[in-house]
Amino acid sequence: MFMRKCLNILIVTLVVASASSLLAQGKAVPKVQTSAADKNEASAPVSKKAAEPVSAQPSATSMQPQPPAASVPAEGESKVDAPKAKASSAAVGEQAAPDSASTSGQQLPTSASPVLLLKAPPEPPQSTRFLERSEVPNAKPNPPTIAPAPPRPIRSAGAPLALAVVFERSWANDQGYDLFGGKSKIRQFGLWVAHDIWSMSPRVILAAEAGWAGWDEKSDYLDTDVETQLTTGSLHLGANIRYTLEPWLQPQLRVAAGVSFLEMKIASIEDNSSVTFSDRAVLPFLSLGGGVLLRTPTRLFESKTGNFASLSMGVLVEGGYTLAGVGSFSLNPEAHSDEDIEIRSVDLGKLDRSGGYLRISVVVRF
Amino acid sequence: MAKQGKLSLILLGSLLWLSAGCGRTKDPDSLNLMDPVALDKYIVYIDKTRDDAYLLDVLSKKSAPGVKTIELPRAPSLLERRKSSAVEELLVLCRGQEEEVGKPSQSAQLAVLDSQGVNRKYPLKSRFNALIQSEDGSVAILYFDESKGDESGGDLSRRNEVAIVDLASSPVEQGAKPNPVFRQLDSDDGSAPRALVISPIVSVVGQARRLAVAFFQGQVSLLDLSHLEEGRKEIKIPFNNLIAASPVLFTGSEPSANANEEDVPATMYLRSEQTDDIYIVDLPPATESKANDFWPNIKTRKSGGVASDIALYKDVQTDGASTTRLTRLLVVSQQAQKVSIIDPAGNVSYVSLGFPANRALIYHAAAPFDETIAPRALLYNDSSAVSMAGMGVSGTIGFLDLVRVQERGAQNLETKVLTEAFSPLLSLNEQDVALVYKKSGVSLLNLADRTIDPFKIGGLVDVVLDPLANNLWLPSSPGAPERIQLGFIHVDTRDPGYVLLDASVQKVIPVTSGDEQRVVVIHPSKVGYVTVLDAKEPKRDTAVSLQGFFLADVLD
Repeated sequence: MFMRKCLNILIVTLVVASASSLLAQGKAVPKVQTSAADKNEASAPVSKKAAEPVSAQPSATSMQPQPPAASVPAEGESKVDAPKAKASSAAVGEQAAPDSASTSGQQLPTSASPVLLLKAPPEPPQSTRFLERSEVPNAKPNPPTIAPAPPRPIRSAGAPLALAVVFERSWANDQGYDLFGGKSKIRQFGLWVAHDIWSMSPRVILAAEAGWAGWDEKSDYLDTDVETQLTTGSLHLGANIRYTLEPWLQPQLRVAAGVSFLEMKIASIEDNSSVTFSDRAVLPFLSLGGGVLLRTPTRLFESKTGNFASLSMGVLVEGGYTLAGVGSFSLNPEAHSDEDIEIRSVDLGKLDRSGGYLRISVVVRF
Repeated sequence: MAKQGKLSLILLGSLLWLSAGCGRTKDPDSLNLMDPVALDKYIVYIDKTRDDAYLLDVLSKKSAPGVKTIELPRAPSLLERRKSSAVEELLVLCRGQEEEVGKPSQSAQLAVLDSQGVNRKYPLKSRFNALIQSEDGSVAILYFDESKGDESGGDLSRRNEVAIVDLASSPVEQGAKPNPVFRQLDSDDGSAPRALVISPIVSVVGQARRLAVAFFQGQVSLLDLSHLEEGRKEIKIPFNNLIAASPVLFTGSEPSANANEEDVPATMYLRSEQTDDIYIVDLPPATESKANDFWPNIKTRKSGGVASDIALYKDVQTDGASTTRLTRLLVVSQQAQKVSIIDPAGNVSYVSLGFPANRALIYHAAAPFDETIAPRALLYNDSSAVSMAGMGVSGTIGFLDLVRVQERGAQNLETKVLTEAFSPLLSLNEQDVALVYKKSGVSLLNLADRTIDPFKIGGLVDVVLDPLANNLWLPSSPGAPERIQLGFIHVDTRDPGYVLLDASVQKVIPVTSGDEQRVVVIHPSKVGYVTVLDAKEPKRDTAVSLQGFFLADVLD
């Protein structure tokens, strides 16, 4: 499209230049009265027929100042100012060529006697135009028409849904985790999903969240053949409020509640046998934390067709505190049959999961 | 871009930190348990590493067994039951924490543990490594046993120092009567005592006294434990050969309040480990100013061979119308295969045995041919059958009637040849002894009838006498796990029985509290595993196992 425009301009420029050069050689140029009809044809190429009268007339009016040549306006350009040409020709008293239906008050030369003459009606002016391709013999066929490109769709960049992989590390206040080699640290790995539910303001958004995390910690207690294992799994529901400080920087507050499933195993390996004890507990918990989400700019991944406009990735770093229930554990031997001697279990005590936590989530929003 | 790069590094580091340490983590402190012992209704384990005592209530009927953890002074190294029938206490020798850079030091202590906890602690100046008690459990002496190696950790210590502890009194650090009392036992050769013995209360110079006998390389020292506060020095008795520290016999009763009763002064009997000398040490009053108000008078007798064992017995000597009770000394010589009988006058009689006995058990009972209760001796060999291999027999025991043995000699001897050698011999009561055959069984010997009842059991682990229940416990592990059992024999009825167990046996401990009598089988386990059975009627149906008690309340 752009190339076509340039080509047309170039052609028009060449034509105008040619016409100007011919006029400059002193040939009579019929006054060209541009009318509304001619305006439409102004973009058409100048015909040879129109050029002929120009070459025949310069001798009669050579002494007269030539009216300026009527330039053919290019596509999209403004038109020639016709009354100027008429005024100049009236000033020199030349006899205008009766080739256009003029409504501008063209006057007869003052030297002519006021004799009522019957004259043949003036011939309709021959407009100059470019020849159609069909009028030109052996012309090349018209180039194929290129349909213009459809307009680019503008899709929504809103990303209400978030999916994340989370690593969490907790610091419980209970030294009982030393049994599992934890030294009061707990690790979890999991997933969570959140969906925006309310845009409280253009920058503040409330989202609902659900997630799961778990871990399996093994240890050799007291550096002996006593193996301990603590398996944790937790399900939670929560809500978070984030503030869009910048498109790529969003602090947030989060609250969640859920349950933790703990399974404890202790295996004592002896010379000829091994005994395994186990117990389980389900503990409720409530966590409160705050963090910052760093994400990619809006529409970074948007395709030309507008797909993936809402896709963004980011990292959420969050810290907080968990209030959890206290679980009681006892040593219950596994693989105990009714034929064995009655076994009385020993209470291990209570395990408290309350403590601070740090979460790092790799978030995908779309 | 620089900011994004920094952020990426921070996030990557956080992820690595979160996932770091995957896999196993280890606690450097391990349990280092001493052999468990009984204390009232508890089984007590001492953890050397954590300085804790775990008291497991085996008589509890609760669903979860009660375990008490008692904190002890630093570095417990030795555990003994106090030899007292009046109280149930354990003596725990704690060596303290030697001074190190960055660690607080703690002096050594002797902790007395009862069912309620640490009752009292006796502070010690040095990190002793050995302890000995009197037979009645009223006095204990702590000393350095050089045979145990250097456990002092390099501390500057006086190796001939001893601590005398009055266990019946509270600790007193300063004052007129400190408790413990620290003394240095000097020797002519500069060596430390290799053994210590505490005498019963005997009459010395008309007073009831208790003596400590310290054995050096070429010397025996007597320390008057009844006059420590007066600063009386010990009495050194030089010997030109090595004196055996076991047994050390004393005669001489405690002075009686009844003036009509004759006061028998104390006499001490010692044997040489290198010669056939027997030393009879009297303790008459000192004739001149000495370290103490008595001074030893030593008489030497020849036993005809290096003495393996000595024993005292009282004999009645009839001289016409008068009868005299005499204390005679029986000396057994494995080397000479004979026994010697030494009377107070120093007369020695010999009886040839014909087999290499090295132990003598004096008993008073009838005989198959004599219903009279009289002193007799069971002579046997308590070692392996190496010395008897050349004789072609695996074991021989002898019954020696001691009445008129000087006259009758070998006529008073009756020998029995057993099928195999045994070790040890356990005295069950006045009438019965048990002969233990390693890994194969026991034989119960009735001393009066001189009959032997053999009991066979494969994979014998241990033989434990339960005097209150009058049972002999015989745990065994024959190889097949399903055949692990606790065998038992009623001593009176000789009825055997067994109870199948679920795990191998490490030790068997009788526990008695009031009318409750239990037998506790200790199984090898790093978290604790015992099986408790009724001692009177042991059955699998009524047995209870307690497992994992070392982890009791570990989360708290």
